[in-house]
Amino acid sequence: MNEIEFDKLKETNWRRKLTAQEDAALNLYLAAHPAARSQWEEEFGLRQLLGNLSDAPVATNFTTRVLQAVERDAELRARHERGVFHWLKFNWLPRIAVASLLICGGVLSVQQYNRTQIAKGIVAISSAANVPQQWLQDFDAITRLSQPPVDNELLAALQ
Amino acid sequence: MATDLEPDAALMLRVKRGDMRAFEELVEKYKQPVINVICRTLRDLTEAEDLAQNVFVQVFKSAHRYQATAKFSTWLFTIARNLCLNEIRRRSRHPAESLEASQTEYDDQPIRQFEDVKTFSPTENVLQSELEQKLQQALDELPENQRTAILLCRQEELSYEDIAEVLGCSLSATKSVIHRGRETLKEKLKPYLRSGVWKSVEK
Repeated sequence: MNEIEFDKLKETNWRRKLTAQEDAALNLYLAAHPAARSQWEEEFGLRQLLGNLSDAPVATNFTTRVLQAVERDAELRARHERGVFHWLKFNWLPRIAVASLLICGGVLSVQQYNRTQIAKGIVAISSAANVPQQWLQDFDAITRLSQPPVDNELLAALQ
Repeated sequence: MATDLEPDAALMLRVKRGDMRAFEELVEKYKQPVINVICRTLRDLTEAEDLAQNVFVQVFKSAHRYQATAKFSTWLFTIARNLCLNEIRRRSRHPAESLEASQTEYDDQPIRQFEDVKTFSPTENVLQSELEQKLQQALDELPENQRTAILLCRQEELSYEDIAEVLGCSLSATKSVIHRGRETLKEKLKPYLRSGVWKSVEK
């Protein structure tokens, strides 16, 4: 066994007891490397100490209390949901009010959207109108720059 | 398909369908480890019990979100850790309400007295109590993630991967957190570990 394997055994020792085979390999390593013994003793001692930590006392009625808390919580939630549902179900006036509010909200947001679009269009047109006349002089020629050249031969043939 | 599931996941699927017996089984199985971890973190038994109760209520309430592919214990300890962190944050925001402050007059005594369920001779009892006090003190001084990782390491059913998931970090980072925590503990408990006193209280 080498040092890496020794470290691996230390890591294994953190989680569980070593098997007889691992124990034998460890003893061989410690016999050959006495300096590692104190290291191992510390590791093992710490594991034992952590393993010996006492359990916290748990109340005998802990599970019952949890179950009661769960039931209480479910009841509260059901009551709340029932309350809201009941209010909406048996009060037609608030139902109509809620529906009207939703419809009004929808209509208003559509109108707002249209207004914004129109405003954007107006801004675009007005900015185009402010462009100096000489800038637009060669507008047609510039837009045709990217088009393929006129096929004069074809035009002549067609005529 | 249910036969391929780990037993806890199968129970959790039953809880999802509203089976209270299955939930009771899970609470019975995990109440001790959950209270242990919370108690060692908060160092207040009453608060630990209340928080553990909240953990299980949370489990029940979130049962519909539970995926059978996830390991139940990992999920449970993640909830427990999150609630502990919330409590620690709450304490730091309202330090006046901290119950630890009221313990100063008992500083010469072990801060947390646990019921002694093992049988030791009177001398061993004193030694065990002293060692436990020192260990608890050393644990308290660790950063939260190192302490939680080391406490979760005591849960044999949790693999390193599970602990990494609870801590929300990578496997290598988790191993390094555990390593650093253990090194600090060894450093602080060196006199006890070197003298071999732990051997006399060995189970």
